[in-house]
Amino acid sequence: MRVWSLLILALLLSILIGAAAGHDWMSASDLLRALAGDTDLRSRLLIDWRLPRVLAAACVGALLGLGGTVFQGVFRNPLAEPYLLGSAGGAALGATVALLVPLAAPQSFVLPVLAFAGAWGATMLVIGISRVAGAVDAAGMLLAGVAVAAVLSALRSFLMLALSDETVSLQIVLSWVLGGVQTPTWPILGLLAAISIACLVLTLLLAGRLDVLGLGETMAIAFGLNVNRFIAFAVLAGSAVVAAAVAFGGLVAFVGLASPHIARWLVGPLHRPLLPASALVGAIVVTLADAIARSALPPAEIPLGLVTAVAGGPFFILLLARRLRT
Amino acid sequence: MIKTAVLVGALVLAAPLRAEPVTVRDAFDRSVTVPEPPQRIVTIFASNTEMVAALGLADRIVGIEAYTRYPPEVLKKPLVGGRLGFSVDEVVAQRPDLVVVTPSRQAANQLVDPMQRLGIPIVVLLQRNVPEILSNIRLLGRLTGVPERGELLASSLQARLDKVDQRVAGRKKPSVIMITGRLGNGLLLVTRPGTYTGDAIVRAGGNLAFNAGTIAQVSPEAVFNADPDLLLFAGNEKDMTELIGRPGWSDMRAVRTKRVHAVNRAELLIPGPRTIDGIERLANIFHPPAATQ
Amino acid sequence: MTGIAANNVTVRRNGATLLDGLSLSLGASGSVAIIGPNGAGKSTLLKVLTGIDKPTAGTVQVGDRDLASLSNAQRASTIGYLPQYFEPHWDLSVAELVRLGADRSDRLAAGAIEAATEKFELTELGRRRWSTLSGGERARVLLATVLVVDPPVLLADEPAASLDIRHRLDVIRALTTRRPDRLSVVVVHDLDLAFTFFERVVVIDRGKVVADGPAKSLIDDRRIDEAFSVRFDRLKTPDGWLLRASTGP
Repeated sequence: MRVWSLLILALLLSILIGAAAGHDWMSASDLLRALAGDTDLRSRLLIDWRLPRVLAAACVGALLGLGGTVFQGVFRNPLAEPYLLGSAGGAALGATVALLVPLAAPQSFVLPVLAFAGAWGATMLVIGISRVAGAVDAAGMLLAGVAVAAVLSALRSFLMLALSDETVSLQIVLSWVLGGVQTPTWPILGLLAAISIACLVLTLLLAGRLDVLGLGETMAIAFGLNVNRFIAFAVLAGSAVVAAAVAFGGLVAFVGLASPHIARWLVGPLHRPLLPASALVGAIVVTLADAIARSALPPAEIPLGLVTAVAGGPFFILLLARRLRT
Repeated sequence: MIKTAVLVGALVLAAPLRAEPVTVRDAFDRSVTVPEPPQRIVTIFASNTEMVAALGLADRIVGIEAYTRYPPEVLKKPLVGGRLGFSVDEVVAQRPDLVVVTPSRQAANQLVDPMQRLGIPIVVLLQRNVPEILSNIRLLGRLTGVPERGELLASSLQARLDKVDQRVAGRKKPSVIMITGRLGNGLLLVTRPGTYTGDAIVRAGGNLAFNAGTIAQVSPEAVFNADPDLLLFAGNEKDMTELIGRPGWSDMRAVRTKRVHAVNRAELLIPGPRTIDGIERLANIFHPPAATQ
Repeated sequence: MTGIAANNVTVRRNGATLLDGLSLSLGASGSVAIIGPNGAGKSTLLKVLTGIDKPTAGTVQVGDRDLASLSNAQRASTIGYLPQYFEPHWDLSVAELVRLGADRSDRLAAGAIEAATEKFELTELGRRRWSTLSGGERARVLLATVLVVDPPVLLADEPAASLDIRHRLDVIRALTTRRPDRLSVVVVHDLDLAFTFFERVVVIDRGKVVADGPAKSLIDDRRIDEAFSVRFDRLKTPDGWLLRASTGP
């Protein structure tokens, strides 16, 4: 119980820090004045611009935490993460197509749909390749993921090079690739919050079966789990979660990898507590990373994905080293 | 004398005599309205800064970005962005009543939405050819409450363009490749058609040797194959000499006939009033005044 | 009362025949040892009986029903499976593992978790994580996890093969001293244990049953020697049998 109160407290604190952070740091009294309905430009910047972005960053982080936990649970591999298994790259390719290729349907519809299709397709491709290669283990899946991610990123670069007109579309794609939470309008933020809660509920429905799968495929079947069908379904669910995260936050690296690990240290490996804990950790990490992105190098803003990659890369190497040693 | 007259004129025109709102349509087809002539303008990118300064409004500029180098009087203004993007915080901290931006390096993507939401007028300018530069000057003149000044500046620039046009008309157009940058992987950035720089070359009486394709990166091999009459290098002589001293370049026609020229980056790669200077200089390179055809 | 039977079961994988029309009827209760040389098909038989592997041909009968017609939940609560090798992917605690085992049954007897925890002496270990357990402790945790639902049929694949002799004996005792209406089928490596602790012994070779009968009478059957390609000297001891193999003529 203490862990949960601490996590929630930490999230609230990081949201406050996120709201205060910027090139122009707000003091506590500034925050209070803005929240009280002050109409000064700085106060409105805080309420109308910064706060929705901070909350969106928290949602994106929570989605990444959930997605990472589901993928690690499905592949029973603590090194699995959406970014490495190609689903984030697939979502980004889908979004790039939606942004750059003129299509008949409106972009607000096409973008999330193509992002989802890309995420799912890429993940299935990775699983398919490692199956065909007869290497459904951690290393095989990671290698297939790296290969697929490389191909996808090359395709995306080519689309950007060939179809860009140096104007808005390319900029949006770029900000996607480097990762960055866009400030949503309040209704869109409401939608994002609803999606995040739906994703939490959806993944919690998988929790018990993820635990059983964690006993190994043979034991899982003996315990009554239809393993192949469950894996396919869980990958679909995980891809949906990742697609939502990527649609709102672009490619934010390593959060999906790190959050489940930190959460496992805090609440243990059972998925029912792990999923919400990982969502909270992800929310905290992305909120703080976004605060750094906005305030570290004034007047510039560092892309969020770069901040998380710089922080997460060493974390990944540490994990890998620990795993190789055992 | 002239300087004083300009100053007085600028002061008279800048005075908020007419307080009625002005509405324009920008490059994104957005309707931008300023309730009264803006007094605190953030100009993102050198081109927009130079245009506003050329309207005599340099003192109204309250924020620029890190790669602005001209005119000298604005260089001390606060920076609101740079290579890594643009800061909503810093822009708002200047309390601007107009933001001028071009959709490049994330600027429009990062700034249009927040400024709209905070009710700060933001105008987006595109310059895909030389006439658009002139129409941007007129638009900025209207928006900042100095329409006559914008009109005057634009038509004097137009007159100079017409003069160049007359001079180069009917002459044999040399084929031209302009190298605007070199990438670490050996590829070269070249001027494409459909850009103001490409348009400037055509207006100066040249022909783009690469007249199709949308990818700006080409290999040196493609440049060798095109073998243009004239090779332009946007940068200094030293870098140019180093580049054409590399293997393969000496076989090119332009190198053999010594028709390789370093040209001023600021004049040809910043779509502002100085672009017209650049066009005049290019016309002299393509069609030397002394030469007869 | 639930018996289990293989009817004419054939399993082929990648061109190799692992089970070759094998038929075997195992009653609803008692203890059965399955022995045979390496590659005889013992593990495959157990996996087919559990429903982990599907037979290429033939059927598995559980009670009066076809195994394939059971729901996953029915199958999981009727048949317990103890694998040869078990390593959970996540470092769960002892209590969490036993709870996962219990969760697979929807009609768990009241106090079953406590009973299993007590029976396998895990009360002290509840909060310990898998990675910190010794081999013997792990074996007890696995037994508790599988037996917490007290499945009518238990299929065990050479459990504790890697344990020292004392823990091996503990495991074999736990498997052969279940309630009298329960069936335990155990693949056993150690022939002495098979003939000492089990009521019935089934000998498998090359995917077929080559001998089958009560341990007491089967001990003298020479088909055992044929299956293992050795000659056994059978030594009776006060506690059971000792089989000493020699490859000479």
